[in-house]
Amino acid sequence: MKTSMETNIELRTGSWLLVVGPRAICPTLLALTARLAEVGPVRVLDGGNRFNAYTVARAARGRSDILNRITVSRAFTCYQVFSLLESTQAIQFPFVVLDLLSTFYDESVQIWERKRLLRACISHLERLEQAAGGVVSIHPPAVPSQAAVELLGLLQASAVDTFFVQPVAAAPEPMRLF
Amino acid sequence: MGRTLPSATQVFMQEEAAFARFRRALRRTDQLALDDLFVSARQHLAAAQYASHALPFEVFLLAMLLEEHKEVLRLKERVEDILSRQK
Amino acid sequence: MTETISGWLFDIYPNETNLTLWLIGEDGKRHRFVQDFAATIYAAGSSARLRALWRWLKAQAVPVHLSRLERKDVFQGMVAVLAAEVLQPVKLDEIFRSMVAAFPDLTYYDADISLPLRYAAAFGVFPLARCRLEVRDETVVSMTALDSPWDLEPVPAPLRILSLEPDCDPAHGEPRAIIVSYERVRYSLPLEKRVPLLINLGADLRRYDQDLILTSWGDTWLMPLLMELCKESGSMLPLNRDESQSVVERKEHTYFSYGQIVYRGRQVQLRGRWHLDRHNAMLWSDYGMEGVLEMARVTCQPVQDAARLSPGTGISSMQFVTALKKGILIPWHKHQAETPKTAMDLLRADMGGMVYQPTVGLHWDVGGIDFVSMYPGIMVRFNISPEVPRAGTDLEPAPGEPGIVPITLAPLLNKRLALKSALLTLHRWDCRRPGYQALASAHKWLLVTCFGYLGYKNARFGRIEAHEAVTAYGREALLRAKEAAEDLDYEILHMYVDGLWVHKEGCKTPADFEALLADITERTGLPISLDGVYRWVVFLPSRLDERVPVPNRYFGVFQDGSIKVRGIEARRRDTAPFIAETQMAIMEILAKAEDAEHLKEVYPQALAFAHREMQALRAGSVPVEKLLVSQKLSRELGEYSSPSPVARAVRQLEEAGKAVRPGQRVRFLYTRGRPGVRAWDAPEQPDPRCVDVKRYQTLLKRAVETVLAPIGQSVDGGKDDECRYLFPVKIAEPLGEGGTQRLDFLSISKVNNFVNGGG
Repeated sequence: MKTSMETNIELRTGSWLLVVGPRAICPTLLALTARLAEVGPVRVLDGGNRFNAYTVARAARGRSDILNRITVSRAFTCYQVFSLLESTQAIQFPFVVLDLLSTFYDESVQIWERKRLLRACISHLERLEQAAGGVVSIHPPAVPSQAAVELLGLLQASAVDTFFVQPVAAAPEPMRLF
Repeated sequence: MGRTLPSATQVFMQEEAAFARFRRALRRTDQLALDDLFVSARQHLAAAQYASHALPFEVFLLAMLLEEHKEVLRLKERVEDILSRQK
Repeated sequence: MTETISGWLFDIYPNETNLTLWLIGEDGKRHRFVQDFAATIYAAGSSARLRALWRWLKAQAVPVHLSRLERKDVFQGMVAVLAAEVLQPVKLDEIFRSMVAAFPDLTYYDADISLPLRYAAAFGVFPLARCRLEVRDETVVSMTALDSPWDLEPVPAPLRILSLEPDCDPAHGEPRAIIVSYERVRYSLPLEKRVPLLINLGADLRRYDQDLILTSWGDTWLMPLLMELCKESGSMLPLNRDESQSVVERKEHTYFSYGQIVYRGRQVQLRGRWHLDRHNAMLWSDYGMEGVLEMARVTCQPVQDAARLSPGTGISSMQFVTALKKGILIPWHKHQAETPKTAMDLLRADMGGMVYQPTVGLHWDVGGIDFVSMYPGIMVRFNISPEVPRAGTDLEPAPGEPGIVPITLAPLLNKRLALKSALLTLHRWDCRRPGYQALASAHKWLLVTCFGYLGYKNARFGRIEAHEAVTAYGREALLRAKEAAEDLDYEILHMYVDGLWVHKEGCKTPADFEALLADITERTGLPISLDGVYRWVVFLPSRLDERVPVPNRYFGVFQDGSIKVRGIEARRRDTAPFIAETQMAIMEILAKAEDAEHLKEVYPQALAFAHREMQALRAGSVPVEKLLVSQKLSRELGEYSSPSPVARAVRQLEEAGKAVRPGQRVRFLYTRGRPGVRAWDAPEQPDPRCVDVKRYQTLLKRAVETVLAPIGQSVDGGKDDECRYLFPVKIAEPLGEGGTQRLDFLSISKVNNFVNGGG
């Protein structure tokens, strides 16, 4: 069942989309990746250890040709995220950046340094979008902070479109009959 | 750097949970038999992990079948044993 | 005029102009020298930015020599860098911080490497190295190492040790005196007489001129107290040997490491002298002072740091020294991200060691065989290092020069193997054993850490591909070992990352397994050894479902009578001592059985013992200290939505004025009624009558069942109803908050019948 988010996401060359939502949206993003890989190569940059290949495989119905068209590269510190974006070539295949800010919430790196790195990352996103469309996902930090708000602000300013996905309200689940 | 993929045990539990509705609609005795099948798949999690199959449930099914077959072989042996002693 | 002097390198630290060195001379004197020493920081970036940096550095007050060079970056290859040679070592941190503030965009190397490590790399020395110096007017002109950290029996330095400790644990009471001891002297200084204390202690410190002040709670209580007393009275204690330097104080802090919260307490370090605190030394209980000194020798970290820092820091120090010696740049931040792999590749690569499902139950005559230091062995043998490109996963070494990681690990691994062989030949009471065992323990910790470190996100020479290659080789090696065993008709009972449990009819002695071990080494290229032959071993199922095997819960007896236990209550740090000891005692009774017949005789003895312990618990005759549960606080109190027992205990401590940080261990008792726990370290001792006996009975019952149920089943050849009623093996119900379970009185009477030979 495609969520409304998935049907609304359309990648266009010349811009990158920002998706902001709870971690629960990851499977949808991974399914999107599988869908994109049905037609051609997709590059995934994983900034938060989110790339559950089994979820992608399920969405791709186990097809190895699809799975072999997805390349993924993981970054575990904000420096590595920057380095990854810097070294990604601008070619005509879509890119998906998962959980870009996760490593930027690490308070052992000074906030001015994190902002500097993020600005540099954004300039690389702008470089990449010239050749192909992309999606960047963000999840809020475990502990809210002013720094997180500022970092998100920097990203929003540069994205053409931002999707905000609301966390599901904790209402009692209605009885599912179907 | 942590592991990115869930462990075989976690994947197994997710796959088992995916059949919760099917299980619920079964008679109680059938539920217990189904549980036995899942337990037998758990005997081979290490091999399932090593297999790195894109669709792990296929490997779990094979593991269930493997255990069923082992049980058939055991029973065959016992039956032959009983029959030969009757002679 | 130059003099030559030999001795043991004792301390190195910067002074106003250059470095101060202390030497324990072979002449018995403690010598202080100075030495010029420059430390270099490198920066890479665009030519324009480097030119700007050059101009900026020239304009700084700190004297630096500048040059342009090419040096090797492990990930990027040869890199053009600006080298800034700082001539006043004490200014190194300061100048680096300003550089970064002014030029945050550049890539820095060799920036935060400590001076002792730099010195060690430059001169091939290490803490407590025996060396020969040429000295002119107290200035070192040349330095040569005479021994190596890899020597098994180096000539030890004649250390003078003075011990200081309060007369009780400051966390549990009010100390009234400080006990001073060194050589044959031992006396007590009352704390209420402050001035005499300072005078007498000062006199002794000066007269004895110890190399090491060994304390209990020195970092957290004693040294801060002494320094406070000095301040109040306006007098000085000669704590440092170098009185021109001040004592170094470091604050406490809490940090995350590998998903765990680690708590590091305050520290007080000396100059020209060492201060070690027994209670704030990592792994002191594992390897003591000898282990600490070995850590320092092998990792090149100063002794005061080696004692307090983790093995991970030890490994990284070793890698830094290797890199410095080879002229390889050490990145300040780890930039390198993963080389892209396909989703299919990730499915195959992102795995740990192979962890099997054991054949549950009791097994006789089982060989436990283990690869010797498997992961480090793999790294060395197959040349796994961040800068070495890999071909396939065939078990072949990668061609080319050995990388930083194998170069660093190889001598350590060799020393470990040499030590293990030496220990095998030593008689059980040879006085060298404890020392060797301490060294072995230190090496073990370093080696165990180096694999995790290879994959650690902040490790400068870590690389996830290398980490994955190591596990891939490990899985391949284990599978080949399995095949070798099966080809020789062994049954595989269990496998776990680097070890296997195998059984073959007729194989009972170590010699019987030789052929298998040789075959495995042949097929894998890795050394493997026999941990021992178990008389019997029990693999336990899941506590939640006895049909489901679990990989790391087992216990067994070796032929020499020693017991190996994993994963059950006796091995868990949070088990109350009474329960752990009862479980171990039961196993020791069972361990006497040499065969199945004997086990039948011994089993009722074990049952009877368990019953007696249960009675003792009910009668209240178990000392309260033995019922203490010890758990770590895993988060800040405010973060608990419903407080766990440890959180409730911590709240009690905080109400009594004792702060507890996440990551610290807390001891408490389970008590009746609310709040269900009583913290042990609160000022008021808990009343023994409040102990929640029922809860402890349930915990004891569980622990006893864990061990006796599988034996009982085996003793009676299958499912025996009577044994099951004694300690029924059911799906265990989780112990709820303050929850208890009714003890089954029917089962107790059955015990009596069984023990008395009744029906």
